[in-house]
Amino acid sequence: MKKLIIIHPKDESTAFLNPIWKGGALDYASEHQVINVGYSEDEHYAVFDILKNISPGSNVVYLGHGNSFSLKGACSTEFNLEVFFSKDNIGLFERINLLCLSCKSADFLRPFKELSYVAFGDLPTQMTEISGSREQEFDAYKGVDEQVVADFRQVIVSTIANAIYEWMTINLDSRALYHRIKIRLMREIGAILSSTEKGSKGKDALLDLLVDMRKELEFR
Amino acid sequence: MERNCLLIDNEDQSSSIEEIEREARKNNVSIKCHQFNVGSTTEPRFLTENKIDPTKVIQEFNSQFNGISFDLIAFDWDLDDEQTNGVELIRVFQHEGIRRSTPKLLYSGVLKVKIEGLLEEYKAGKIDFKAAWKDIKTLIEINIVDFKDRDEYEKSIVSYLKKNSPVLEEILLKELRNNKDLKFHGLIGSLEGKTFEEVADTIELRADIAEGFKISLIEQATAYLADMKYYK
Repeated sequence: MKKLIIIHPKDESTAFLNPIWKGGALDYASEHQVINVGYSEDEHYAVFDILKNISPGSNVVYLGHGNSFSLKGACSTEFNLEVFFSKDNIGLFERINLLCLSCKSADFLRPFKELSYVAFGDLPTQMTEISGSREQEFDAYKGVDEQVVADFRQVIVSTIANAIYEWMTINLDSRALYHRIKIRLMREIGAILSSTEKGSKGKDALLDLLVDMRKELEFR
Repeated sequence: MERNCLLIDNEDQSSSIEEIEREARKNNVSIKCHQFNVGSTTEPRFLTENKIDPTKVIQEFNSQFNGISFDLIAFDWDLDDEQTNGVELIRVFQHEGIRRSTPKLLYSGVLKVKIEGLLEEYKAGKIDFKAAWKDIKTLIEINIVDFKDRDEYEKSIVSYLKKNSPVLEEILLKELRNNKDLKFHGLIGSLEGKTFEEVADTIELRADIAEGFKISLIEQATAYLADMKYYK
């Protein structure tokens, strides 16, 4: 069985992802390590050391904020590491299988041909992101409100936790993991479709977010 | 599963329909046969100045066979009309997106004569390759599954329907038309709120929407049918 490492920098705005590693999905991974990276540069450097010594073929999950050029570190009122991983240290993810749950991780990882990963497009899980987009384009994320964001977060947590459980129990490769996440998202979409009252704005908005999340999913 | 077949001919095909249904029973295939008499002088509603009017044919087809999915449509080549034959009618059907995906068979009492005549004219230099090719190309482009002589077409229909299971699009269209009053609610915005019958018509007319619809349907069905594992 392959080793699983979960890297999740501490940040109140991504604490909703904690159930992915606290909720029991990892009970089935024979060897796993959760690094809830704290508010110091030393704790981030320690992650680099762990990755340098990781066995080839291990599975790594990154949970946190990101953009097209980097993955973000821990964040609090006293500490904020904007760039945790970038092109300068992306080599640390070579020879492992990476599941990178962060905004625009597909854009970030795509140029690095030697990496094996499953990555995502936009994942608007904060109302501040929705508001920011609406300042650029007034009808962006139509119908999305706090309740929709909360529901979207819940689907993300459930989908990813169950995908990790399956990843660990039957040794899926990146391609298979990608397809399993797609099929799990489609199942959520189907459940919402069959329960949706026509004209329910919140449900339609949640469907739009999930359809986009599924469409923008990538693997290599 | 009962298969539906339509015969398009200028003459009454009741005796052929009886033979097809009898032959089908012998072969353990359930076939329901319909006919559509085009070009008959007893059916003037298809004619304009005693000639077949393709626009009227399409209108009448939609009126008579609305809601029925066919597994095969067999066209007579010779409809006793100077301007419109079975090949031309198939071309009109294809152009108008009418039953675009339904397999089509062409039969004629003069089929060999028609094809041989064309080749003979080319060999004799009466027509050039371009002219000969134009007619043959038309036959290829209208996507006919078989050409048969009139005296053997009934058995060919039964044989074709026995050998060829309906493809996904035919099953899908049949199911949609069987529930034509239901309204679509799903992941394809352009179909939202349309009746299943309108969805079936759109799928037949718009190959791009048809492809998206089929992909979405298969993905949703696969997700629904999978015995997914959950840790809790």
